[in-house]
Amino acid sequence: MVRQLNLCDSLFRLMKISQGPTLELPLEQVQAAFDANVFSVLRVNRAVFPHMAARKRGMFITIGSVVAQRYGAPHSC
Amino acid sequence: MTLLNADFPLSSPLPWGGIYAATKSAVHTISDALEMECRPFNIKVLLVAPGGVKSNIAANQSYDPPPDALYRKYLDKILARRDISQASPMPTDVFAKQVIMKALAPSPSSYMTLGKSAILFWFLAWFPRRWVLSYFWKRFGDIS
Repeated sequence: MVRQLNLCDSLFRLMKISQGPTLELPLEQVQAAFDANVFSVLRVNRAVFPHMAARKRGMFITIGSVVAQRYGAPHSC
Repeated sequence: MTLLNADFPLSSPLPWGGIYAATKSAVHTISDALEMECRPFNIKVLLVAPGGVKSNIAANQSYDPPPDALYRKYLDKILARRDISQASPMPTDVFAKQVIMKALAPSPSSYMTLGKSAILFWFLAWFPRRWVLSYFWKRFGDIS
């Protein structure tokens, strides 16, 4: 995997949705959603970070969402 | 200029998508932190905030409430809400091309938003938050 990433430099991922009432979605599903959407980002980024850092180049591309809150100056589209 | 420097919430969760939005908000914060912490290593960070993009995201999702669920009567709304991102979404290849173009730019920015309704969400970020939440509830949640 690292060899492949050395070639492509960038990392692109898509994630999982978890739909339902906040307080009635089974907690296992909530944990699975955080595992797939949040912890996956940390796991993969940690795996490739030393290799990108050693080469002083690379890019982390992360897929968020328009429904996520993000405070700060609005960016242009 | 003053307005552009003000702190505005960019976007809001939709009803029935609170957990999903919470995971994505966490990802946004992590990406912003990485944008700073990766600077010593010359690693770039690009956070993509898509609206509707063609995928199996809704088809892969089932919600089957137990018989005693308090929100059972909202099931139609919940399922309809689940499917809206896949109603005339941006084609996947168009999305991918735009992201790659941005990523390969000489000085790529660290954030982009695109896809169906991305402009709407950007626009709504300038509205009072309580108004936006009321609007989303009326449109996607309320059955009265």
